Amino acid sequence: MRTIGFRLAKREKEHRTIGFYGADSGVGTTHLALAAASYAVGEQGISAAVVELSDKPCIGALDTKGRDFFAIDGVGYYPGVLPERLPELLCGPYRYFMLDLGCGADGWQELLRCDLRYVVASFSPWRIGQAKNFMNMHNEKIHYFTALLTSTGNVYEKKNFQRKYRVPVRTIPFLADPFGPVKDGRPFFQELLY
Amino acid sequence: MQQQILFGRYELAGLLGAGASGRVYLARHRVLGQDRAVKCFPKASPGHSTFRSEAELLKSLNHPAIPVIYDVEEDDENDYLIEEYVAGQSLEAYVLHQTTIPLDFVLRVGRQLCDVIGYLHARPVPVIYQDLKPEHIIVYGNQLKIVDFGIASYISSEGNICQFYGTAEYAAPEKRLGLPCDERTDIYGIGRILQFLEQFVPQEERTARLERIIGRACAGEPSQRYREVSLLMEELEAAGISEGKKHLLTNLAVVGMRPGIGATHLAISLHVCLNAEGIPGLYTQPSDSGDLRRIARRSWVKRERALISYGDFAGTCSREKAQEFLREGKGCLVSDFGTYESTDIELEQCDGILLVLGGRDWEIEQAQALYERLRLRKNLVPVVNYGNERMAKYYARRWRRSVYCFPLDGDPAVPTMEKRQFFDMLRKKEGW
Repeated sequence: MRTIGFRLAKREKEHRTIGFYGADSGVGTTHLALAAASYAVGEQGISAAVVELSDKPCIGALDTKGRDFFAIDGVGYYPGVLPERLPELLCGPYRYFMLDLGCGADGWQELLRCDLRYVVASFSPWRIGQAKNFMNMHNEKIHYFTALLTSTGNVYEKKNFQRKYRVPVRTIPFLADPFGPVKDGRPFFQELLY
Repeated sequence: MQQQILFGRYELAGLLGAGASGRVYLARHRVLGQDRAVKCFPKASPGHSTFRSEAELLKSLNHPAIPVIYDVEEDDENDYLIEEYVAGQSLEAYVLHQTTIPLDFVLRVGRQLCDVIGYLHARPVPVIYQDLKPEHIIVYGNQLKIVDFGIASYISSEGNICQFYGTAEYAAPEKRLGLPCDERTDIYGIGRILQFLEQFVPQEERTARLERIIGRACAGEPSQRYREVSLLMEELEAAGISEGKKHLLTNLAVVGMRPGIGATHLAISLHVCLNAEGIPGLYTQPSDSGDLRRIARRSWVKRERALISYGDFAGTCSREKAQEFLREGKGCLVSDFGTYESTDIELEQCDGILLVLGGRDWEIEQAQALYERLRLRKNLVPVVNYGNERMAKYYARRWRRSVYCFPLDGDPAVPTMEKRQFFDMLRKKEGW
């Protein structure tokens, strides 16, 4: 009897799933997932793929041929994936899977399954209320989050939020181009993918 | 100080500076992950006496321009003061990196200094800071912080205190001579700061009024200076209003290509930067997306009838109020239309329409479609957000017209130098 299949099945999990979920739409979840994958491949030399489970898929536009998988600069992209396809994709040859989960209900369920769970929010004065509503709504699951990430808002808002909800708040560095070098954002991405 | 971890909590990350009484280190709290400034005072140093006085004083103060004190620690060799880390640069470094600085910046610094020094003087037992100099002022976004309260003192019942430390260049004459000091010693300090900054203001912007203010604040004889800080503050505020620049703008519109693209962020930034440039303005949302009402719920926002305001921001939800502002020609109205829908009629009345476009690869198609609909408008100004210059150039080549790139920014209510320069450039290029 051949045992190779059995050995393979016993192999330890080698990949890591990193979920990015938006507390609201338009907060930059896709941008961050793409930037994190580009950083992992470009700067750390670790294979990474972006899996888009968002309710508003958009990364398919990066490929002119409309394929359900493509790779650019070493990063694999799975646009507009349905949740039932996810287990199969996670067997793919990548170390990191950046899951762009959008802000819908399906994405939320997937986030809780990820190894690292990040919620992206906006702390602009007119949107911070939505971030608070989100935290209040998921109050009992706050401790599941690895961190809450935001690129906007002032330092006092972030401090107060961190204190009130007891969740680490991290500032996303500004990256004009998610595919470009991260420059000053290196410490942030190091911490993000630790 | 060989160890890298202090008191099991603070991980030293580098030296921020060194002075007569000790050194200041940047440290990170290992549990909270927050940065702190750790001031280290060697017990053997002659300036060690300032340690207790600074700690005692700081713990009783609460002002946005004064760093918060978190803890006091000691080991065999040193005493430590754990303070809020202010992630800016000193006014000295900030100014020396600029070729010129606008007059408005000088007046703003003056006003903020008056505010914090006024706070110290208005304490139940007035505090004299005594060591105002550009090195001790940290510029952090739009906010100044003053650091190093080592020689600040309470006014004694006799009303005369004098610390023989400090920097001779910025010290008031009475301090240099060891004579009694009072509130006017700090007024002299503010005057010297203004004098330092004024030399970087372009010649054409300098005014006789500011010269007079500085002259009076820096008078050698204390009795000839402003009696109290509030009087100096009033003069600086009046100088700011009268120096307001002439402009051609009355009504600007901001339209985004989709929700969440940053139209509100850019509109608020534009509005506060115009205000900071001396162009009074009002922000409004004709589409009434509810953003203004959400801003109004913030605890630090002032609400007065239909007007809400904080910092350089003033906005209204009321269409009538906005129209009245426009009719009376009080300044520039910035109308944030959110996304482009059926707003054609209102857009017709605007001097300029800033069209906020996404800079990501998957946003190109949508941006192109919207541009096609609006491209024949004479007053259209396409702007790409997120500082994406590559995409701004791409659109510019494709459409054969100027496409601007809005700088990266975290807080729209802060008129940073970069944003002000951007809008200044926009105004010049678009002839507003």
